[in-house]
Amino acid sequence: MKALCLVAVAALVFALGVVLPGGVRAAQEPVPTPVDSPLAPGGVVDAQGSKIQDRSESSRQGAAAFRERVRAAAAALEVPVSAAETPGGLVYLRAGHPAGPTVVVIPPTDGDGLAARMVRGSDTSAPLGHVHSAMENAVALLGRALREEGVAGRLSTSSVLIVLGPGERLTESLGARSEAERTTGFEQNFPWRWDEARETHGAEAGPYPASRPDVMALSDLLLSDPRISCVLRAVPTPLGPHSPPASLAAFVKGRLKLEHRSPPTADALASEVAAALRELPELQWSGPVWRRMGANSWVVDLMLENAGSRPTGPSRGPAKELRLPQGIQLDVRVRGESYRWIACGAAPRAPVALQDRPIRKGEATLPSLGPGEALRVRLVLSADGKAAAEPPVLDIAASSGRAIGADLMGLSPPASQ
Amino acid sequence: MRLIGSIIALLGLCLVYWTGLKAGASERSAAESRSGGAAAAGFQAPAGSVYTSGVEVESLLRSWADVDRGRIRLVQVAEVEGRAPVTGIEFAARPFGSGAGLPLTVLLLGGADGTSLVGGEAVLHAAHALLLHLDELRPDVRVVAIPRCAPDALSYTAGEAIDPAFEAWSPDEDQDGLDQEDPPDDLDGDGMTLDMLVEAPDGDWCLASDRRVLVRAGPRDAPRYRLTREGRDDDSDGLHNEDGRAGVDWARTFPVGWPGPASDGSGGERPMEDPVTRAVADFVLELDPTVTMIFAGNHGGLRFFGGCVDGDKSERVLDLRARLVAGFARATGRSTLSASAGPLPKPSGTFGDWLQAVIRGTVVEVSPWGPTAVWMDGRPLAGSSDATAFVPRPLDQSGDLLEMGRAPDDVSALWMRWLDDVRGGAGFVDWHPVDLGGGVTGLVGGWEPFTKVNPPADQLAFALEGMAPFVEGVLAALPKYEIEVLDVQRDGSLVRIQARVSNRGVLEPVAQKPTAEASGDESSATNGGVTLSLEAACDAAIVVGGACANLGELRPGAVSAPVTWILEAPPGGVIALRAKGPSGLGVEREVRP
Repeated sequence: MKALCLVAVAALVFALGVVLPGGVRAAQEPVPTPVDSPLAPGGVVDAQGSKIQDRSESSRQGAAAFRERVRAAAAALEVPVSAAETPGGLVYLRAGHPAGPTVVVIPPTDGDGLAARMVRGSDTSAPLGHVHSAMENAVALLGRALREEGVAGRLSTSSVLIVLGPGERLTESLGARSEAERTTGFEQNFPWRWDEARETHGAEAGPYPASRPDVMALSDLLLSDPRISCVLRAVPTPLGPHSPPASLAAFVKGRLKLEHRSPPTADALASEVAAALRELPELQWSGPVWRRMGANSWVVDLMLENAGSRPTGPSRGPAKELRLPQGIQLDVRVRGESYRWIACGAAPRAPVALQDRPIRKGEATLPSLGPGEALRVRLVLSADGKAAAEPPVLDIAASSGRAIGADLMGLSPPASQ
Repeated sequence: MRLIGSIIALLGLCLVYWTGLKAGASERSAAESRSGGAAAAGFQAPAGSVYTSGVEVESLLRSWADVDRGRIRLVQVAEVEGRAPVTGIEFAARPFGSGAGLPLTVLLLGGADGTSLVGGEAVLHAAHALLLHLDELRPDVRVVAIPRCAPDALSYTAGEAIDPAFEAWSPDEDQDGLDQEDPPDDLDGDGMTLDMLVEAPDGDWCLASDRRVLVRAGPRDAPRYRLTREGRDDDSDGLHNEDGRAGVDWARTFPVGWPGPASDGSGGERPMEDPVTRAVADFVLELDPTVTMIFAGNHGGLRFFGGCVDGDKSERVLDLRARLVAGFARATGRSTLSASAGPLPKPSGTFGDWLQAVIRGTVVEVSPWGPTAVWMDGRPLAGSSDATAFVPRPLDQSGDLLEMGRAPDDVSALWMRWLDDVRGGAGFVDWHPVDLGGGVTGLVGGWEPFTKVNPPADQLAFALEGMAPFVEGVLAALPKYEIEVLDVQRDGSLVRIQARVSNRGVLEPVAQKPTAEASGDESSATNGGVTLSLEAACDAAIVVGGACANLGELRPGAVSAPVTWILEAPPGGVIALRAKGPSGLGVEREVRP
């Protein structure tokens, strides 16, 4: 039965990826692995862990209905939409380009933690009711956000990931928690400054960080995806500037060095989603200037700018310390075999000398850029002493997990040179 | 006449022979009794002079469990796919499932820092010693011994083969999309991957006056070095060996004092990232041990943990530590340590730091190996100095001393003395320059394997000496309540009973701090003290006195105030007195007035 479910889940997610507009195949994304989804025919488990409905015809109908809702959402929003489940068991909806920077949205909770709200849901009488209602809320939220000016186009290069709730496996594990574990608070169990929380809250912090399966699943999701740019979460009570230890906000800000916003209402959340998408860091190339250096060498100078309102990533020190991806990845390919790319230099401002950037297999790392900052990038190409038959043709890609990348394809010197 | 004499002589010889046989049998009987009977012969002893591999440990534990399946059983502590299983052994004097509870649990953990192979050996030896005397184990105690808490890490330390699946599970420590692209290398071709110093303005270390020793760099010290494993910067990112083999460092992955995700990824992306750490933690939480002894470290003494409550110095905690330290010194003959009264080390993400914060019992790290474990010319090498003073000396910032380097700290000095005077200098590779490319020169050197972290095989026996007696001593010193019936008088149907409770134990390893779980249960109503209750037959009734008296705390050696009951009971009935301590430990006594 378990094997059948897994097959069904895999087939479903594959189908979602292939059939939906935009052709987003969730199964190929690096983060989620659809292993056991509530979208497959299955029972629903209540907060105490007892099955309130066995796998049944109505369940299967529920899964089909969910599929249909995802399809309808994609059609209504006119953006690529996919649904999948993380290895930790969280079900999510992703709208937009899956390879771009991501804004994570955690829907409103009742203050008792993610899982409790999700498990209770508003419609547990129906199969997969909690996921269905979360799905409806997510679509409505996205709809409101996309109505704001200049947002819809953003989803062609970035995405919004909305956590819908725990899948069946995670729900079961939450239900199976011991009485002692039930006292563990969602907001005291995240793996950042947990020992402080333990001192302050005692057993509410749990026996160890991420001992709650839902905290584990959520922290895994946030840790494993370097494309996440910020985390939005609606909470009824505004959070102060100092995040309580071992809270989600502390984890996001302290461990991930990401922005964490907590709007108080669903409407405010929609506005924040729109703002977060607008402010995403965006790399832009400009002004390639070619110079011929002798018979077989070329120099090309470019400007790389962050046109967004947020930095492209943490600076080198914190990035290394926190083991986050650092800098901007530059990928340069020279077409043909005549030219051998030999050097790359970069500097933030014109008067500063270009600093050599080591290149390995056509890849180099450039420093992160703050909002509005730019880098001068210089590439030196040489035919390595041999006579080059043709001018060089370059493909250049600049990317950073948290920024919208910029590509320059087929770049070559003007014919006059 | 001669024939009669011969017969008498023959009878005399037979008598002598028979007497001798009887005496011999008696001695053997006594010896067998001491060693737990014939079964003791079945407990294969660990080697003691060579390290036991992971496979051998597993096999040894199985063979022990096979000797007496009713009282000894294997426990699968952690079974994580693609990882070596964590296996332990549980035993008690009474058969499992015999109905009686085992309120006291002693947990022996080996190699919980991921490097201390000698810790695993100590657990094996201690468990073996206890098994030999299984019949004499206290009936209310169970022992759980896990010789290899971190089997993959220990295999790595020992140079044993590691499960290929584990090797394949390799986190991309620097998140550059590549796995294991910058592991340590043997740069100087000496067959060992040792330590390396790379000069860096923000380095944490500098060389001491003994140029083999590193000391923490002060603000004005130069040159300063960054300490890393030997190897080149394979991925040209300016860092050396930051993305090496799989796994997390068990000595820094636990959440209390977790130092954060270091650039080399050794502590994990989050505390207890490794599923094996969580599985072991869940097992220990379920076990709720009274005393946990972690055999690890290389300080050669005892180490206590402050957990979340740093510097817990309540009188009873200090008393407990002092008793343990004294017992350790007696069992091992090592110099007396001051760790019991000194400031506790700052939590640093070790297993012990976390355990002490979350469980109610006592946690102590027992280090079999260290400079205090070595004797020379019939005297301990460490002498009377405090070799495990955990508080580093304040930095001497006087500029003139920096030129020649600061003196090594006491512990480093002892290690160097061991190296020079006992090992003749063998076991340490002096720092020597190696070319790292790009005009960068590193210094490679440091302690060879099986020197400082784990003893050389020929020193293993010294390191293990006294470990088993110390464990036996701790078991014998656990709290033990006794009910003394002071007076029983009958006057017709009226009965007067007076009794009190004494604690015959030496240690009181109960909760060092109240847990929230305990705050709402019945025990909190008695403030964690000892209770004495009286239970009479249904045809008896208590006239004076309560059914249950709270006697308050009963420290080791303490005797409670007497409790008196007057009850109406027909002759011939049985009255049961029950004493119960806060950890569930109890004793029962019947009175027939």
